[in-house]
Amino acid sequence: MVSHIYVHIPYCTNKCDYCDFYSEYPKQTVEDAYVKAVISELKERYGGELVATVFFGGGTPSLLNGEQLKSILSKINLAKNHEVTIECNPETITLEKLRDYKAVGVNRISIGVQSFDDGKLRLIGRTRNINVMDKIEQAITVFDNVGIDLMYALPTQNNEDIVKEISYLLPEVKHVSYYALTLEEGTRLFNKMEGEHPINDDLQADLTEEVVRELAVQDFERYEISNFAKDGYECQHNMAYWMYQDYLGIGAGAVSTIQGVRTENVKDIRTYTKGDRKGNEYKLTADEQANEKLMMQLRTTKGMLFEERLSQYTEKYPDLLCVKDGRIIFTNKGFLVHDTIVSELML
Amino acid sequence: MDQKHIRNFSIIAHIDHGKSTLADRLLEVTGTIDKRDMKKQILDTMELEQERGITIKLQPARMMYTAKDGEQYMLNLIDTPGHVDFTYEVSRSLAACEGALLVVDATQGIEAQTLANIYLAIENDLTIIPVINKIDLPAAEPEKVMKEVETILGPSDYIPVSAKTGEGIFSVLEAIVNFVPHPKGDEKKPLKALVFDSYFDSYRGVEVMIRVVDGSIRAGDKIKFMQTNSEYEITEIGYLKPNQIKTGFLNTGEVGYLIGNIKNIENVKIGDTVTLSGDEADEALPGYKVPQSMVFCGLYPASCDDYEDLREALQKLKLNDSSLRFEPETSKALGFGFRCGFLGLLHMEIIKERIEREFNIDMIATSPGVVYNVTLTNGEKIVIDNPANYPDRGIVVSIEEPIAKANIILPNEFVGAIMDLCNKKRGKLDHMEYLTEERIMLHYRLPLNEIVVDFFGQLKSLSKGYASLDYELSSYEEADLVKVDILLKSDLVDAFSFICHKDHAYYRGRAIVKKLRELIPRQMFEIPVQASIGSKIISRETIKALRKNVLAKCYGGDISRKRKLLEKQKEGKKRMKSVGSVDIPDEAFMSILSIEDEK
Repeated sequence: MVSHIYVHIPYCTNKCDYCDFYSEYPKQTVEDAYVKAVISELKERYGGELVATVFFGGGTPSLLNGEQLKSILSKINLAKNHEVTIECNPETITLEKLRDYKAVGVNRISIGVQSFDDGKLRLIGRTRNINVMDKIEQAITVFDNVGIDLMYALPTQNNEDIVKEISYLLPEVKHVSYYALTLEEGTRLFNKMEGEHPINDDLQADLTEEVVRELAVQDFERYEISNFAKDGYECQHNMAYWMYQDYLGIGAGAVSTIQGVRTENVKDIRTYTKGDRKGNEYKLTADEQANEKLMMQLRTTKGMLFEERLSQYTEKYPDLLCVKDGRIIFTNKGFLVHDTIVSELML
Repeated sequence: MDQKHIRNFSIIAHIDHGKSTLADRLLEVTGTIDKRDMKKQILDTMELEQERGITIKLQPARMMYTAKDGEQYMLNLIDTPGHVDFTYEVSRSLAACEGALLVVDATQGIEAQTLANIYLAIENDLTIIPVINKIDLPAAEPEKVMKEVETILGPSDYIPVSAKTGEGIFSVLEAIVNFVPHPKGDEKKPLKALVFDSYFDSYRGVEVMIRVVDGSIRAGDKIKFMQTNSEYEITEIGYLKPNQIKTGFLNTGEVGYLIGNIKNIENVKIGDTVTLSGDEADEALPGYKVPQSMVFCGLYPASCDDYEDLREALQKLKLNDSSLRFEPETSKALGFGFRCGFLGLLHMEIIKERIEREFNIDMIATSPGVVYNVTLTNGEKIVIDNPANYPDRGIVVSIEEPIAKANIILPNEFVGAIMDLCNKKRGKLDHMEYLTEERIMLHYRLPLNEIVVDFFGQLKSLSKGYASLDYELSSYEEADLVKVDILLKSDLVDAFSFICHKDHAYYRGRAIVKKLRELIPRQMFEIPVQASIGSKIISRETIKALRKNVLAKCYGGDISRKRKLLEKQKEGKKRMKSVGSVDIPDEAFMSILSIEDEK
């Protein structure tokens, strides 16, 4: 029984220099054979139970056309108050496509803008957005629940740049994911920067604080380290990950966690399409599960249930951790050093 | 065999000058061992020795040789330990011989360590036969090399050989027979045999290598070690070929081994005299000394779980190396470990490497130090081998440090750079001499504590590897020395403390503080890093508090990788040593060893 399904669409028109996700490029469309393979995996692994959230991620899921999306979604039984999200790259959406998506059951879209500043996009090797404001307006006319993905800690970025970026958010936008640029080993950007992040840690901390402050002014509340939403618009699907609930991941390279078993699908479209889906599968130990739960739940402002063994840390770091209603939660200052503290808290 | 037909000799050579090859040729042409077995002998040595430029110590071997005069001779090769730290052991091995082959590479010339051994041979009245090796090489310049030899030995003849091709080998054998004096012991006197080496075998106990000086010895004899006063019954006795050949006896002038169910190597001291219980010699052979530890450092297991393993490793190494000293010690920063004493720097390096390679224990070694003599205000004199035990400055009247006599041989183009280095290290030039037009020998007096801190590395790098060094302890002298402490967040980290000359304290303190600022990761609070002499702060840096360390994204596909990353961080932190609330990575302790002097 799973309540959350993730569908991975590993196709892109371009590969951005900073990206280390699995995707095939350059592709303008998603092959029907792949969609078929997704459907057959669903048939094999999904038992028809009612599902609360479905998330199409990528890659660039907005390369799917309405028909393809429909053929997948029609195999999934949705619960009441379900959330169906699709990630969209602005250059791939049109008003017509958005309407098709809505017609087949999508009710939330997340637009990967990354930056409203074309100069910054060029510095991180992403093609510039064309008519991005128009695309956002179109999305708003079709959907109530529209989210924007942005990145900060981009080369040369300062606090003023952040304020400017956030000023582009239209009042109708309900959700913002604001990620610090991460240099992943093996990416083009990593090599270009010779492994050295263009923004040092202290400056990144300043920029993070600016992001939190500016978004709060616009009524966005931080509910996860990098995610901000207006009241009631938190992403239910992602919250499931962070609350450490089970999820079924469908598609090449997708990962599932069901009852302590993690399954990783093969990261190759051709092998996957042939039906050789399985990559890795392993059972997580009790300690590993406890550590993952701690790591994930503490990313959110809900935090995790307080345990007595953690009291030494709340005493040690009173300005980083707090206990509220029996739950242990990071403060905004604490979120900045989440990795360090969580590794200390782990079993 | 009668003494007139016995020749006991050693081979003195620098690494790669061809000692093993020459020895192998000698064993081969005298029919002592098969070619096949010889390979084994060469390979049966530590790789470490090769890397560190230590000559290989050969097994003693008895060869029978029929000379041109038609007579058969017994030639005993007694090799010397191949590195400078074992000067005393070298001198005892040489004392067991009447002659030595000085093997010099015809393309290289004499090195400082070889020179030290030549002097020891001269002190022991040995007849020295120069052998110029590798004459088959195009770059061979035997005449030039001989000039160097003659500046030390005076005018001499030499034997040109190629140990590789075998050219000249019979001339070497003839020279041994004709020039090395035969032993002149008294066969009728009570037994006196010199212990020149020993090995520990876990089944048979200690195997003792001896040279019979007076009298004779056989299996079943009750023997006594005169210095340690311990007595044993000989269960087996014989000679080496170089494998053991049981004979049941050894006569005057002969060389061989004995076994007597000896479990404790402490009772078998190099340089001791073996005599018969009940028919004892009047006095022991001269020259016996207890070798002193010159260099000390703390050895700590990187993980405290390995403490017992480290103890066992040290104990095992000590079975074959009685000069290694160790006792338990505790450090606030590093936990439980051992204070270890070594004959010299190389000895220390070898022990450290062997523990890591042969016993697979990760270790942290503290900065090497020497032994200081401190006089206190109440007149008491104390000996300090660990900076952590250095008394409060207020009660110190004076402090004396060990001074080494150092010989450095180098091509003249590097003389300027090396003299600068020696000056920086507080060295005093005694004199210099020309070995040839291009090669110079510098005689310096250098404080030992300057030699133990990164001297050798700089010597090698400044001379492009050409300079060679030999040193021995010569005296203790008063000096203006201070103890420098390092504080992290106001807590003294004992393992970082060091004693140095006052003039060096500032920049060494500053260098360490800077290095620590780089190596200690930012933590949840600000960490002042300070160097101090007593209560006076001489240098300060600050490690700023960590402000950001968080992964931006974590979704369903990232969980495993992210968890592993954080678990690894946790492991890394667990492995760090903590003083007060500050976590210190192992590299920080290691880095202190390579702090360079001001350029």
